[in-house]
Amino acid sequence: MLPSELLRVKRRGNKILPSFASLSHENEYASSLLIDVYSEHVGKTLRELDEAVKEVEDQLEDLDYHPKFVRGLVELLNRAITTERPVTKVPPDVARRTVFSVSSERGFAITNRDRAEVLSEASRRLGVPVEDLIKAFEASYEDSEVIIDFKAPKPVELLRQYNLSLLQTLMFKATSMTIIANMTGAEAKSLLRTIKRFGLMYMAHKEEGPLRIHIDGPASILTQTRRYGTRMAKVLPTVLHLKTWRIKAEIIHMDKRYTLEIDERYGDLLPSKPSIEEKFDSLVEEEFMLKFRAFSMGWEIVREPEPLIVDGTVFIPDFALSKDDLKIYLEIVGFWTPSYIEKKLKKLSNVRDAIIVAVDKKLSCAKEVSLALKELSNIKLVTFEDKLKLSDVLPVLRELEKRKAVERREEGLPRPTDEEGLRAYLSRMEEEPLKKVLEVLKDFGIQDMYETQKILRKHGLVIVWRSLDQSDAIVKRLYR
Amino acid sequence: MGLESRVDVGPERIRLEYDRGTIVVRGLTQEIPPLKWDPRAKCLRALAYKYLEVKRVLELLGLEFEDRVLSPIKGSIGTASLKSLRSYQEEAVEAWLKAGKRGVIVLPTGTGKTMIAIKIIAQVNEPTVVVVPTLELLEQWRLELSKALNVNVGVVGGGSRELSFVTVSTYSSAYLHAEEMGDKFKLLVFDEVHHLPSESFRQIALMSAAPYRLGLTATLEREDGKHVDLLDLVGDVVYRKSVYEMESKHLADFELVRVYVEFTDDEKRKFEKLYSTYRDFLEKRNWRLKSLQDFKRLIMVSGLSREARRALIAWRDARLLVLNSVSKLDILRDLLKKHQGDRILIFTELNETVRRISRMLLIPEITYKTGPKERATVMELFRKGVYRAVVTSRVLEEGVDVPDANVAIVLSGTASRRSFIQRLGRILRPAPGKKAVLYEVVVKDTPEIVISKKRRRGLVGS
Repeated sequence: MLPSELLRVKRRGNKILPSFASLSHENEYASSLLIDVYSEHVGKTLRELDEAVKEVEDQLEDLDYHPKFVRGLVELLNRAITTERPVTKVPPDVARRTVFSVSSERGFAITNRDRAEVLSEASRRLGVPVEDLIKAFEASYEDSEVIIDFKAPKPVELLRQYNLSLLQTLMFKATSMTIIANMTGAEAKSLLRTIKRFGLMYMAHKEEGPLRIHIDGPASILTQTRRYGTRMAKVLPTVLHLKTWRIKAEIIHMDKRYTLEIDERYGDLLPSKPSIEEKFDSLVEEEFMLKFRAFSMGWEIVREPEPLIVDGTVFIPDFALSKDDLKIYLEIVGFWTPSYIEKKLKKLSNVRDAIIVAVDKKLSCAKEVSLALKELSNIKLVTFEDKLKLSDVLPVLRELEKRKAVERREEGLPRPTDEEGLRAYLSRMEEEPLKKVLEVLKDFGIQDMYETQKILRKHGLVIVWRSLDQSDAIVKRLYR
Repeated sequence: MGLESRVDVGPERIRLEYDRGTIVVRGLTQEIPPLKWDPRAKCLRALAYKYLEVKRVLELLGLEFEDRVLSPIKGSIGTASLKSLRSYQEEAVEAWLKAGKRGVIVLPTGTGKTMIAIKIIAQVNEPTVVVVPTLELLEQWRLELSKALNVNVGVVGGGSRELSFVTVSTYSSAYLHAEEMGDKFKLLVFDEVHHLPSESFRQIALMSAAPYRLGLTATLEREDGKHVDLLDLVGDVVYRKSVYEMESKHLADFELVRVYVEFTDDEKRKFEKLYSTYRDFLEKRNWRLKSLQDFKRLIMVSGLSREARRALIAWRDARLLVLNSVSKLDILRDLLKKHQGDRILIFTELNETVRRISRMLLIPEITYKTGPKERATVMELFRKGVYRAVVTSRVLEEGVDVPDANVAIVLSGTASRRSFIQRLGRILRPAPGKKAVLYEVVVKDTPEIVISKKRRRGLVGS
């Protein structure tokens, strides 16, 4: 990230892009020239480095490099050095206090002679030679610091780092950002963890094709704000290592709105991060996967499969189990805090896909969990003790296979149930008078107002009251 | 609470909670202004400063709800030792209380706005955060509050992040930590409240649920007109007195002396060369630099053309020459000699000049680079009289109190803005039996090339 005055952008209509530095020989030359200056100054003071850097900057400018580009590289290199205060015989603050006090007592260092007298009096009081006193006095100026280490980047890497910083600096001005990418469960988990850690919020969508994660902050739905831009900039690097990705961001630059769109085709200009290693949430999961692979009977197991979208949030089951065109997810509910379980159950109750939920009997609330889950038709409940065994899960899989075989024999799809009809009706809806909706719902056996609100909400719909009269109210889609 | 009751889908109770700068209402799905449906979290949401309004609306509709919004910091004010207030200060306090503990008080610099705030904080006796523009003011408020209210004052800003019953913060830190601070206080005090309406700083007010709010300023009006938003963010102007309405005894009186110096011949030659480079560039483009805005434009263009950059560098060097003129430093020496027994504040705009003077004359410096610890030491030793002069580039920008400075020396570019000088002068405290004096040292016969942001800001509203 760079100071905003070093930002350079290209604008065209309402599109905006950072002015990326190409990985050309010319740019590599500038990059290596600067890196050399820094390498040569290890052991010297910042003041000496600054002077040398200024000279190179002037030189590069005469060669027609953009001064903001050169300054940007310098900014990044400044972060790669470690400095130390010079060692002094007396602490710098003591030296300064003594010098300034003596100076005030004597009516300041008006002439050179006064100055010499002040310094020698101060050195006498502190019992150190004048030379050491002056060194200590100067030491508190930041440019007296000594460079003790420089982590030299490769010239091309510095250019890539510069491009990423430029992109992030533009992202500071973002009001929202959308990440569009195919990702594995592990990748999605890591991304969502980052989003949460920075106090951001997201809304996920998926309709054929890649996952779309729209990111902004708590206050974003209430006021247009760039408050979360800095944090979105920090989310950026976690996306770059994905195979395919696209980022879309709404930017406010110089009081105008722009759209920033960038994808993996820019990947070479940007640094790539090592991909995320596989990590298991618990031992139970790891053991189960190994056993399953050994005795699978034709079933395949994928850990942290592609994310499912549940009501706008992402849900990543622990496993996906598949055989031919059969697929079922498996979620292991191990030993966790009640509030975590509560959240998990809320999510599970909204999943539409078939899922096996394995509950640890040791769980203090195992009974309640089981009760709550039994109500839900898409969920197959199994319980286990200590470890989830293959024998706990296999009966469910066998039953599935049997049922599928029967279906095939009957050569026909099952008749749509009431529930499916209702779902189809609601998912098509954009805006409808409440009165009409209530009538339809009544046909499906839903009369209770609370139930109505709940089911509407589940489908992304809300009731908008225009007055206290029900006949004025409408049902409106908020999201899909 | 059993898990079953929460998992089961009985009608939820309506619950108000604070969530990172916003108020969240659960157990209700209807959008009632100012509440908005948030599809991300499946709840209703409003900005935190709408707290009272949300409560009022729910009560009006006869809905029962559980209010978990505020988690105020516990504590209370110790035995406050308050100085008795002047009559207009009492009036201001009364006016603010009467307006429902909300609103802005506008009074000229040097009329004891801090005393008014302290009285109000003591009277309200609820967790309070005071938001100030600079680190100098942070330290000053911290000292005065802990002395007058007898409490440990928390500090957020300048590297510290400690929340207490009474806390002081800078605008920038309060902006950064708005999410964490928004539910912890019941009274917000904004010093120099005209800063608040800027795009980022206003979020301090928007993201806080604090019901009581006080704004203080000498210069309410902003060039961009955004001060009208203060009505929504803090409240109406509840008390206002101009300099002319104030009795003169409340303001320190000072004498203004303008000292002209001349360039040496060598300096004059150099200056003319540099200045013509700069002027020719402007003339070629038919530009007349009238405002800060124009100057910003020049800086922007300078990123693009080499010629512009050269002009800018020439301008910078010419300005340095004016500020660092040898004769000017000679005058400074003379003035220092003349005021042997006084407390002197030397003000000059550029940090480089500050450092140069500090190094040469061995006078302590304060710039924006000075760390909080060193800054505090310098101010304290200056107050105690161990240091008799301080050279600085930035104090006084916002009415920082420098007790006992009775002489100010301003090494300005050319002529300074009158309002700036007036403001500076008002901060001086005359020594017993002596009038405070302010010297303005100006180079003769140079064109106006110094445009100071600080001084322009000083112009606003005065």
